Amino acid sequence: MGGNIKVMLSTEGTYPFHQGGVSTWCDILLKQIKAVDYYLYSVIMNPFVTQKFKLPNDDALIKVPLWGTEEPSEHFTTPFSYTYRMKKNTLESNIQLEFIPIFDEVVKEIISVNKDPFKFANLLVEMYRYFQKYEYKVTFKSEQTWNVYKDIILEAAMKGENKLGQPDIFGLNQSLGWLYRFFTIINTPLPEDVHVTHSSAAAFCGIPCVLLKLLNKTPYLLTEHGVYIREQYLSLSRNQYSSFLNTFLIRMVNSITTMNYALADQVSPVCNYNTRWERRLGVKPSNIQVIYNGVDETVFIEANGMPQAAPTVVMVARIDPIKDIVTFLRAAALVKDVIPDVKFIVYGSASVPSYYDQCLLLKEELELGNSFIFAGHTSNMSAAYQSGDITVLSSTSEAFPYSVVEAMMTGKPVVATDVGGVKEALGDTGILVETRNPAALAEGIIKLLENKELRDELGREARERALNYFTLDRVLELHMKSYIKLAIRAKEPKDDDRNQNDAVPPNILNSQIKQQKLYLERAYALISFGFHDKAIELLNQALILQPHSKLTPILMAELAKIYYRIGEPDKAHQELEKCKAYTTLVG
Amino acid sequence: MEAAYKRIKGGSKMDKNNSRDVKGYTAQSVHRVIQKIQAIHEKEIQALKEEILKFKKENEELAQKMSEGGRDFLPPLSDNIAYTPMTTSFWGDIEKYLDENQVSAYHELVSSAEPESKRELFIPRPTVEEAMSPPKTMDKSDSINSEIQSIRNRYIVGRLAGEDLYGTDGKLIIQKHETITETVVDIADRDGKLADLIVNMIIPMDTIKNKKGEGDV
Repeated sequence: MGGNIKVMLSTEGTYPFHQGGVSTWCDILLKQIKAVDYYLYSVIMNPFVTQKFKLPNDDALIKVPLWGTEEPSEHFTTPFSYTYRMKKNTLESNIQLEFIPIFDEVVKEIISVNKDPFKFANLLVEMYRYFQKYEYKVTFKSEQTWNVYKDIILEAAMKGENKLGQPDIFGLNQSLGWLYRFFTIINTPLPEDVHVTHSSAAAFCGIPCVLLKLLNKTPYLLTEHGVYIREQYLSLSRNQYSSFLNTFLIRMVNSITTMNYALADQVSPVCNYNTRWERRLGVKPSNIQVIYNGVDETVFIEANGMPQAAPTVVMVARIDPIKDIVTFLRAAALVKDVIPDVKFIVYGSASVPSYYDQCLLLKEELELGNSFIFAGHTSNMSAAYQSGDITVLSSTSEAFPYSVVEAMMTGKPVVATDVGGVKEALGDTGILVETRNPAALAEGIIKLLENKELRDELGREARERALNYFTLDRVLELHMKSYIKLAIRAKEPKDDDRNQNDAVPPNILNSQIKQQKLYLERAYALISFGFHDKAIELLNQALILQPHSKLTPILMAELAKIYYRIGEPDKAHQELEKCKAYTTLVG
Repeated sequence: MEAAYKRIKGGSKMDKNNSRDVKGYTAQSVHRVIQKIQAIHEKEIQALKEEILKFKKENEELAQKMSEGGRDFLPPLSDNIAYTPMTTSFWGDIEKYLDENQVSAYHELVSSAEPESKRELFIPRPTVEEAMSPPKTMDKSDSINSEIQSIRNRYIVGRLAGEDLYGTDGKLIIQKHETITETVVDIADRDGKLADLIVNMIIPMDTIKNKKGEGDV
C-alpha cells in the first residue's frame, strides 16, 4: 500500500468465492489496477465456501458469512474473550433502552410500502453503533426482541392497507431469522481508512458502504451488473414461501436497494438498460454513469476466419435456468434438421445440478447425441470462442454479458436473445431474437451458418465495435477516474437536478400520487351521495399526504367546489386563493 | 411572515435582478402572493405575529432562568428563532417551497434547543445531510482533507487535459493537451468543473494498469 487510493470493494455471493461475470469483473479491477489498494468485503453464504480466486493481498479480505455460524462474531479477528465480555455486558435493560427503540423503527421501515431510505440508513448506523458496544446474538435472541417483533408484525398484518399477509409462527420466526442473519453485516467492524467504497450490487453488500458514508463521509460508488431488485422479484416465483414471507422478503430487499440508490454518490450500471430501473427507484440521472464491461483485446484475439470442419455453434454460459439451455437444446434440434452435421458445444459449469439433469434428459429426448456437447468449465475462454463458427446466448435475463463481448472481440458473430444490455453490446453486429423461442433462435443460427460472407462481415464489425467501446483499458480508465473524482469529492454541477421533488424519490412520490388519486376517486363517490364532510376530510388527507404533486391544484379546486355547494363561500374563496397562490409559486 | 419574506428576499439563492431562483419562482412573485394573503387574512397574520412574540418572550424568560440557576444548557435564543414555519389554518405548510437554507437553519437551531429524545441520549443520530455534504473547508489539520490534497496532487496534477475546459464565466480554464497544475485544479474546483477536468484528463495507461502478468497471483 502507500499513497494509493484505498477502495473497499464489496461483493455478495460472488468474488472471490464463485465464478461468473461479476467475479470476472472484480478480478479484473483487483489485479489490473495498480494505482489502487483494495480491501475486499465479501458477503458469503457460509464460512465453508471455497475460494475460487487468489487475491493479491489476502490480508485485505473481510469475509462475512451470513449462515453456518454458531456465533455471529466467528469471522472476527478479535478473540472470543472480547465477545464473551460483550455478552456479559449486554443486559436486558441495555436491550430495552438502547436496542428496542432502533429495532422497532427498523422493522416498521422494512415492512412499510413507502420507503424512507435516509431514515433507514440512519437507523442502520445507530444499530451499528449499538453493536459496537453490545453483543449481537444476546440482543437478537432476547425475549423482548422477539416480543416486540411479534407485536409489530401482528399489528401491521391486522391492518389491511399494509397488505402484509397473515404470518404464522413459522413465518414470524423465519422472518426474524432473516433479519438476524442479514444484519450480521451490521455487526462486522468496518475498515476505517478507505477513501472510496464500491459495492458490486445494490444489495446487502452495499450496507458497509452506506455505513461508511454516514460515519466517515466516505464517497460511495455503486456498480450494478444485474438489477438486484429485479432479480429478487424473479426469484420470488421460485420460492415456496408463504405470502407473508414473500412480502416481507421483497420489502426488506426494497429497503436495502432504495437505500443503496439514495446514498450512492455515483451509480454505474454496466449498461443503459439498467438505468430504467435505477431512475424509477430514485437515482438522480446526474448520479448515473454507465461503465460497460470490457475485455482484453490481447487475450481475445481475432479468429483466423477459417470455418470449422463441421459447422459449430458455441455457447459460453453456466448451466443455469436463467441461461435457458432448454431453449438452446430445442433450437439445436431444429437446426440439425436443416444442417445435419452441425455441432453444438456448451462451455460452462453446472451451477444448478437439477437443471443440468433436466437438460441431459431433454438432449436424449431430442436425440441430439454427440452433436450436442456439454464441455464443462474452461479457463481458456478465447480458445472456446475460436472453436466455433458462431456464438449463441439464449438467456432469459442478462445485464451486459461478458460472453457476448468476448465473442465480439474474437470476431465471432453472435445470435442472442434480446435481454438486458445485449442489444447495446451488439448494436447491428449480431442477430437478436426473442426469449424462449426455439424457432427464432434456430432461424438466426441457420441464417449465419449458411452464409459465410454474412458471418465474416458481422464478425469483423463486432470486433471493431468491441475495440471501440468495450476494451479492458477503457474499463480501467473509467473506474480509475471515478475513484479519483469521488476520493477528492469533486462534485458535478447540479443544474440538471433542479427538481422541487428531489427530497422525495420518484417511486415514493408515485405511490403517494396513486394514493391521492384513490382519495380523490373516493371523494367524488362521497360527493355523489351527498357526504360532503367526509369528502372534504379525504381531500385534505390527500393534500397532507403530498402537498406538492400534480394533483394539488385539482384537490384544492375540488375542495372549493364542495364548499360552494354546501354554502360556505368564504372557505371556498380561501381554497381558490390557495390554489392560485400555489400555481404562482410553482410557476 | 414578514421576517420570513425578508429572508427569502435577501437569500443567497435569489439575486437582486429578480432572476428566477433554483425553485423556478421569483422574489417578486413570492412577495405578490404573500401580500395577497396578507390583505385577505390580516387577522390571522396578526395572531401569528403575536404568537411569535409570545414564543420569543417565553424563551427569553426561560433562558434567563437557566442562566440564573447556573445551568447554561439552553442558550438564549437569537432573533433567528423568530422564524416560524409558515403554517396557518389557512395556508397549510408551505415552508418546503421557501428558502431551504433558512428552513434547515431553523430546524438546526430548534433541534439543538429541544430536549433530546430518550434514544438520542444514548446514541447520537448522524444526519444524512451532513454525510452528503462536501467537506466545508480545506483545513490542513484535517487528515481527510490532507489526504484529499495528496490524491489531487498525485493523480491529477501533472496530467494532460483531454479537452478545453471553460469556467462558468466562459473563460478558458485549461486548453486541451496542456499540463494540469495545482492552480488549474483549484480554479476548476471553485467553478464546479473539477469532475469534468478529471473525466477528460489523459491518464497514461501504464500508470494505472499492471503490466501483463504483474497482477497475477
